[in-house]
Amino acid sequence: MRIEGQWYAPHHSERHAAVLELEGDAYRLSLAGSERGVGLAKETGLAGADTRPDMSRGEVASLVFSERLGDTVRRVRFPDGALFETAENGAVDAWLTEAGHAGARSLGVHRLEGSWPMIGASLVLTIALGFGAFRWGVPAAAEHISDALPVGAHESVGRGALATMDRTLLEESALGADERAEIGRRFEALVAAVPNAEFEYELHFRRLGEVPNAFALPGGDIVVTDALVELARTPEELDSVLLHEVGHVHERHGMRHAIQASAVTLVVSLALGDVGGLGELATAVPVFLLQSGYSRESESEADEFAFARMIETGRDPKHFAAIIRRLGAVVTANDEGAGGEPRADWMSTHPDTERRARRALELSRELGG
Amino acid sequence: MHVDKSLANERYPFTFTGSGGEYFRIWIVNVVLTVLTLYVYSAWAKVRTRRYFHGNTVLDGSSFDYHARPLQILAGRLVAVVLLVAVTFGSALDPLVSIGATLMLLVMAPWAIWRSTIFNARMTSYRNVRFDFHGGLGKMYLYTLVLPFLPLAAAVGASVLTASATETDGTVAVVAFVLLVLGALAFYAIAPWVHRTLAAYVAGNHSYGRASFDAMPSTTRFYAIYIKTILVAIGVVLAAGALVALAGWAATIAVPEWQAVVDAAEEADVQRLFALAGLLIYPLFFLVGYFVSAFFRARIRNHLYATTVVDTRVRLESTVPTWALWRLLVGNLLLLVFTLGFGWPWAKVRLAHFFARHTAALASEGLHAVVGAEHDRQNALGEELGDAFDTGLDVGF
Repeated sequence: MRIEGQWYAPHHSERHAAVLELEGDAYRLSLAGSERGVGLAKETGLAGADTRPDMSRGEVASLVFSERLGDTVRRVRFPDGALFETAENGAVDAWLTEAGHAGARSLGVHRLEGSWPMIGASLVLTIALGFGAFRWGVPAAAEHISDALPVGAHESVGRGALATMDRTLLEESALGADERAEIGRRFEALVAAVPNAEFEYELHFRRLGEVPNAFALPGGDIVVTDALVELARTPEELDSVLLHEVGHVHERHGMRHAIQASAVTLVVSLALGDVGGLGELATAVPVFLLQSGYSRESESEADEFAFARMIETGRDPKHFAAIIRRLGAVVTANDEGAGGEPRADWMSTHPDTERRARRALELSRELGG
Repeated sequence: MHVDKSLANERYPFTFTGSGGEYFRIWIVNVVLTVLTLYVYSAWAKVRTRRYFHGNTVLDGSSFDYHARPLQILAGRLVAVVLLVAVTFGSALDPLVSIGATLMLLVMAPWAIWRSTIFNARMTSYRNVRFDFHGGLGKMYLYTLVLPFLPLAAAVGASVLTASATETDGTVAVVAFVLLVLGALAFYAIAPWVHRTLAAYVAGNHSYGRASFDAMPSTTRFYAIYIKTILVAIGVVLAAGALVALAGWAATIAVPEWQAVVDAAEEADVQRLFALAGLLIYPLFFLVGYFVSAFFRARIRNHLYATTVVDTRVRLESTVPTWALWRLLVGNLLLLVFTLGFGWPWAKVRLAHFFARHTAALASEGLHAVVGAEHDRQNALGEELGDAFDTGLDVGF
């Protein structure tokens, strides 16, 4: 096999036309008549130079061939640090394979890269694996970690979050002491009925402007806003929302979301790396979409938890339907007031309000019938 | 610095010979193998990617080469991943961990950048001769950590001192506030100079074999570029605003009875209309932002190349035009959005083509006159920390 290319003396950047001949176990390199090249070859003691100074011989086993990579220049390194470059990739590959040279081992990846069926399969596999990892892998891992963490860890995260929100967002409740005491008593009764309770539940009253809301923090702290208490027409309605929040704590959703958020950000940024100034945009969108998907599932889980407790304690799930519809109407009104479109389901963190209400009524009917 | 132009009478343009389709096939195989091997293959993937881009960057008929071995990279990468996972999850659990980790990263960042600059230089060769980087670690800390924050730190320190020295009263608060503002102003005032000094340090401390790089960017030019960029930013924002206003005015001309329509319409419909207009205006932010960024990057790069000399014999030249760079960035964004990220290999190849096309070396006696000494067996740790945490230094070179 005769391969044409360029030769560089060790540590020298001067380029000389050369021919590399590969025969059996031996190679022969000849400089095609360049006087300067022959001079350099003498100076640097061209490996195996014998009778003719413009030529060197040696064993092919001592040559290191660079891996085939697209159609980039192929490089052959000599033991003395000299370098031979050639564009004849096809000839080199053919010879490596035929001679069974160590350099042929890396050709497998190149064959993968050259085969369209393999490329198609890779594309499908990438999409499927990416989807599967985010759809099932991350939530499962987050659930495991969240369950494995001691109650103390959940509590310290929850306390920290509440303290931060108290400083920045929440105001003190304006509800009367009697009203709070009454709701507190009902809350105690609700949590007393929770099976396998690992957390100490505590209800906090806060004001968040006129926004009706309730949320659960990891570790058992549950916050309810004044506007939500006012929105509830019956104590049972408020109970149903509080049970939903207890469900979040019981299922350890808060910690799971924190872990999922970190994992998604981590994986997306590792996978995409630097997208040349587009990093922020490229990672923020998938992270946001995946996050909202995860919380939708948690909401349904907490709903089911609340329905089960309500049925156990003789409360009718229809109260949940009533307050969730009213809550939905307020949220939609607020959104539109801010100039926003009613959000599509895949963008919202809470599943379609109507769907949740209908599920509650369905259970209510089953109970009645 | 005065560059003798008579020395540089031969022009050697850079070219990029890779193609998007070819790189896509390499990339997708990299991605699949990385996932199937649970990230281990990523080190091999990285070496193949670098070799592809170096190997397709051609100057005077020869391409560049990348020499890092995957196992070197893998070791560093594992340390980086462990650190990254610990920091990410630690921060989610405890805000204190997050503060501690941020401080640790801040202190470690200059070292990571320094290591990765050395590693990248030594792993790159052209015509059998390697590059190297000789900048001192102390200077890296000085230029990336101490100088940028010195005015701010001084102001904070002074104001804390003022506040603690005397009883609380109005004048102390005013003095502290003024000090803080002065510190912030000083921070911005020295930014172009710090950028210039850092760029000169990075570019000027490289070498190719025994030939050393010499970079003397002008401080005045850097200040001029910064000021022009601010003016351009103001200009484009005003132009974009005028465009929106014009479009609104044209709409009222086209539909003269719009006021009646609005009056008759439901409140919610009007709000929806405004939301739609907002959606149309949103892309303008990207167009404007990319233009300012393209303007800045092009000027800095062109100036930096023009003031860098290799071994006093070879000059560099960069002729990146703002508009073309802007079109490229916008095009790449659209490409990524409409292919859901799978157009990434084409976007990367387009960038490489673009920058190669606008770069050249100018030399009088051929590029081969420089010879060098070799370095081997480098520790890849610093380079990988730089990669995973994205602390790679971009001074515009």
